[in-house]
Amino acid sequence: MPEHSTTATVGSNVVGCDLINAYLDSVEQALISAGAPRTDRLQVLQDLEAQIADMLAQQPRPLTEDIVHSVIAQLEPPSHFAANYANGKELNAAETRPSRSQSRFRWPMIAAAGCASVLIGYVFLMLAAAIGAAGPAVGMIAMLLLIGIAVTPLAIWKSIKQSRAGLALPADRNLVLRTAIVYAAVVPTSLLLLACAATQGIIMIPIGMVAFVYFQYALVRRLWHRLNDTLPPQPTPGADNNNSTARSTSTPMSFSSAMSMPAI
Amino acid sequence: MHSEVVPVASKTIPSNLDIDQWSTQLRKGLAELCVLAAVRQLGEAYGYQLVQFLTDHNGLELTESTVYPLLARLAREGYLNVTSAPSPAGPPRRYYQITSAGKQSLDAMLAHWSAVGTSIQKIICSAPSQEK
Repeated sequence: MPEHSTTATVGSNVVGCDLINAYLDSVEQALISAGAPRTDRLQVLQDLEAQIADMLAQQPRPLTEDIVHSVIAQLEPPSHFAANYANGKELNAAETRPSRSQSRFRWPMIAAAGCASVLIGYVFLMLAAAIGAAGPAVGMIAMLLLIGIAVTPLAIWKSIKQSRAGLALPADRNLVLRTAIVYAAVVPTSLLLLACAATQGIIMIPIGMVAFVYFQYALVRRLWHRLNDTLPPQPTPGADNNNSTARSTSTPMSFSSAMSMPAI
Repeated sequence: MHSEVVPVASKTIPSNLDIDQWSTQLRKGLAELCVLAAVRQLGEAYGYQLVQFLTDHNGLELTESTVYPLLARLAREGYLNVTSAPSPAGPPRRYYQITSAGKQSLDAMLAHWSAVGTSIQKIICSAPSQEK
């Protein structure tokens, strides 16, 4: 998203410009989702930016991030701005009001805790395997691991919903991103390692084949697009003929620039 | 024949009538009138000034999420003129003025509002005498 003019006017080093940009981006997204016309979106955002600037001007100096946050918190949630459009249909305020489940929990923290439990569970499980430990303690660790694997994606999904509704704290955005990246990196790798250990490596054969086919497809697809963009379009015999049906039947096998690679 | 009389109203209207929802719908219907009237009264006003002016009036609860999209729509439909002027606080402010089409529309709305208000007042005032 481009930088909004509030922060551009005040200066890119203004305290809390990320908070302002994030809020305005959320409002814009809500308006886009609701089908608001482009002219309306621009005008609403300009009015809102001017309001934020006026509200900040009334605050004591020097401005801190907490002050900017408190000013943003005084504004309405971004979803409320969409209530006037909602793809041409009128909505009740109650319908646009955030649900209790969205505001009651701090889902990014739950996601981070779930991801942490996955990491801790794996570390302890590997230690237990290394020393050959068994018993209820290992079972509890495995349970912690499974809960973390199941709860984290749910909490990430709820965090995204909470952020889109404008109910999450600005710091939670980075927390959700980090959690999602760590989870996406750790869990598939760990599950693969566990599957390898359980099947004595045999699982790697079908997975390797699938991976090979996928990378081969990705390579061919990339090559196709690169060549298709580089090569000039093949001149067709009936190029001056405006009838598209006749053109397509005269060159059935030509790789014209309009041709796209078939998906598999 | 009838052992007991059950009040019709108590059976058909829920006891917990959602006043909030009713008042929201009422305000939504009157938002255009209020915004146009506020712009005409102030002569020329920027968005935040209008929001503050409208929020100063109890019961209206017209906040920025209602006022700004409404201003944008009224400007798009030619009821308001928009001019931009620099602001000491930061980005330029957008000043709204009512157009002749907006004034005509506001006059029509006010006339209708007056008629509706009179009718409602008559109904309310005549209600106790009909019970007798």
